[in-house]
Amino acid sequence: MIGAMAGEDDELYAISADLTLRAAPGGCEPSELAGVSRAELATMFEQIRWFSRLSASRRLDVANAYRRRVLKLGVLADRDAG
Amino acid sequence: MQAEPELDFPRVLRELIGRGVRFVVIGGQAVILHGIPLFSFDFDLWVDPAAREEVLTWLESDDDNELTAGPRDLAPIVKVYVGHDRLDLFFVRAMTNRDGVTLTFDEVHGRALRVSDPGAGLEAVPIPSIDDLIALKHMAGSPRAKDEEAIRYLRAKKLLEPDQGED
Repeated sequence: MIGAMAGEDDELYAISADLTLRAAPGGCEPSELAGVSRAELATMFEQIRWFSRLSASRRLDVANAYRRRVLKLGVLADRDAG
Repeated sequence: MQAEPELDFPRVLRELIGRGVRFVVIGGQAVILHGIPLFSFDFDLWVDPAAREEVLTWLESDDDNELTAGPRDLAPIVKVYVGHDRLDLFFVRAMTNRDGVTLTFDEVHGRALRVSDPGAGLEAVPIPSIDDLIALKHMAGSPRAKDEEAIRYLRAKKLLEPDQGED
């Protein structure tokens, strides 16, 4: 290893001389689809079908508009708290 | 009052494609481009390390962008701040996740699906296959709720479209 650095959300990654980024080991396996009910799965299918009908740029636009709304609410909340 | 600059992610994608830079959209935006209706605060690109100088020189030329490393620095992760937005660029040859699975850039780029939206000027935007994206979602040292949610949706999409549903 030639060093460690903060990555997304300030996690630590290790980087080796061959430019390979390695996750720090640990944690358990995510549950993934285990425990997802048939009804939940049907809802997920419906959501995916709906969203997949949008063009690529529209998908990015919709997600980005929602992201900006959340960011704005965060800024307003910080201002109110301050 | 001057408006806060914002990251124009589609413009970045168009520019990289236009320059012939090899890259793959990873993280939340790749999940979104797969047709999964989750939102993400993250903009992550895995970029061919050979294109590092060209990409960072271009990004540095925009006064709205603040980079954590310059074109000639060797930092393998470079963050580009545009107002409140942040684009993370990974200039690495491989990533090894917490399961010990190593994915090389060439493998992931080679298996990538290409998403196009000609109306928006987006041609053949590379996104990892569902299996590669799930493996990349295991890069966090321990499971995170947002990654687990994305993986659940990616597995559901794979059930829905076993051929991974290329656009």
